[in-house]
Amino acid sequence: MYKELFESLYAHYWQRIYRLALGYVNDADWAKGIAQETFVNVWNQLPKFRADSGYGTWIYRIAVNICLRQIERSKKVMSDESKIRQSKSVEEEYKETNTQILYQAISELSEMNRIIISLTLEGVDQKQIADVTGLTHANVRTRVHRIKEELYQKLNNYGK
Amino acid sequence: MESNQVNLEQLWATPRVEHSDIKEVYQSIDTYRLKKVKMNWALAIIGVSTIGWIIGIYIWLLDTEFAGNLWVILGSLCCGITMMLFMFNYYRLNSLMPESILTQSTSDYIALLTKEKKQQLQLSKVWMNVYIVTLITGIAIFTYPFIVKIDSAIVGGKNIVLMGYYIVLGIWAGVNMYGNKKMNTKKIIKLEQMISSLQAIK
Repeated sequence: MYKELFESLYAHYWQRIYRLALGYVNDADWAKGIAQETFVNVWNQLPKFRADSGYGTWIYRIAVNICLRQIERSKKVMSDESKIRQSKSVEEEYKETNTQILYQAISELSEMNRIIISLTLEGVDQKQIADVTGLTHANVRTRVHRIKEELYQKLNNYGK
Repeated sequence: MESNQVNLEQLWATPRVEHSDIKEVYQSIDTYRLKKVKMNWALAIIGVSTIGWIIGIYIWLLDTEFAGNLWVILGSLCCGITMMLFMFNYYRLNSLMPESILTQSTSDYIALLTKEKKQQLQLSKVWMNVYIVTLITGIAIFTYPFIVKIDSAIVGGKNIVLMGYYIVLGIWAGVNMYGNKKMNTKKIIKLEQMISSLQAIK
């Protein structure tokens, strides 16, 4: 019974968790490791899940805590400019380049802001972000607004 | 790049995602589970070996003058109890699945890490030293009747041998206490760094 539930949660959340982790560490292998560690924890804790919150909030909370523990491994996450340019078709390259610029810009934010903006861009509502991070709803709302302004500025500066 | 043309959500979701493979996750789950099983087996073997060793020594000594010797009994009890207490606390403090994964907020996580730091401090400053001292004391008491039986041709004879033996035991205890202190200090520094970093995040 847990296996089916776990596989359904995995199918629904894996890519979201991967993107959240990628937004935090800006390194594909590292992000994959974080996503895997998240689901190992989900598997181990699933029998004890009490539905105080939804599955999504619970899984995001595990992933966020694992991301925060990455401080143990490194003070800085990678922001490798050599990853930004790759040879693809012009349109693909443009999209891919802009995406990588976005992830790099996010990696330059403070740790909690990286998590907040990653969850926001993932479509998680602000109340749920507040539940996941332990911040107040008002605090999350203010931060999201400021973070987006900061990101637009960074993206503009990169274009110049 | 003009900000009013950028759709952050679209850029974020642009396919750049590593293809997932649930088999890799199941592999990690198995690895974790096997680690836990191995640790439990290791602790069980140490426990059973300790008890087996104590029983074995008694059986071996049954027909000798040492059977029923108070020093041997006290020494064995001392060592046995110390080993059991050590294993119990080691298992408790070194859980492979940190509770911190399930904390709701950074504040809760900091509180848990602070608790873990206090436990490590207690372990390094008090308990490890207690374990080493009581284990060495148990060994010293247990081996006393054997050492005094050693014939020695050197001047001063048995007393020199006894003194030399206990000095070596004392040095061994000192080396272990120093080594454990160093190891636990590293763990505590790491925890303190994590706590400071997380407090800065808030």
